[in-house]
Amino acid sequence: MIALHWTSFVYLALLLGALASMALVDRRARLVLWSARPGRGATVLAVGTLVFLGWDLVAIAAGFYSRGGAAMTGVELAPHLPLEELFFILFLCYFTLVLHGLLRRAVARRSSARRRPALHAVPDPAQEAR
Amino acid sequence: MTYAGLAAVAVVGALVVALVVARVRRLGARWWVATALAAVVLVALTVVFDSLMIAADLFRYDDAALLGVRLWLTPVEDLAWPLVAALLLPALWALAGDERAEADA
Repeated sequence: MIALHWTSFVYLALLLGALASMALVDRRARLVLWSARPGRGATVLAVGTLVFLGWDLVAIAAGFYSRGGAAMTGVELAPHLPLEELFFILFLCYFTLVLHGLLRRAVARRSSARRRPALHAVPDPAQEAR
Repeated sequence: MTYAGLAAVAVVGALVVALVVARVRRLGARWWVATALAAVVLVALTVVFDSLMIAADLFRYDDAALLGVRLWLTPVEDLAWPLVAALLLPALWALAGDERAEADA
């Protein structure tokens, strides 16, 4: 019998909270799953997640690392690959896409502001959201 | 193979993907600036959060498979994760759609 204690869910809850926060940023900035093409975002997230899961499987099979003794749900996708790792990887991929999207906009704004300072003296959130 | 070997293969693979996509999608200097900045942010966050996760005993390493260089608790090999993420994810994103056609740069 598996003894489940509330601490078993702390890491999973933190990851889901982080993912939800990222979704809020995404919804506001319309970058990935709230972009003009949500399917594009979902596809990239899926491919990226599979790449990192593959990396984990290779590293675990080679014995480079293994799961520790910290409280987790105990659900494993593969030996030593906890369910939580799937959500960690998903978060890493999602965070990277949102961060890169925000940085692309910041870099673009910076270089166009240098060219036309008067037009961009006042930021226009409605315009940026497009 | 050591963990460093696996990490190097992953980083080189991601770099090749990024270079190819940058060529195919004609991504310019701005894209690389954004990618470099993302990599710096991700590496810094990895040192902090990987160390916290190791301190929490979420995972353990076989010390014999590591180079032995650590930043706080993070094995230097783990920095391949943020580097691959910063190179691969934006490249896949650019590959999955033509930015200029969609005016979504």
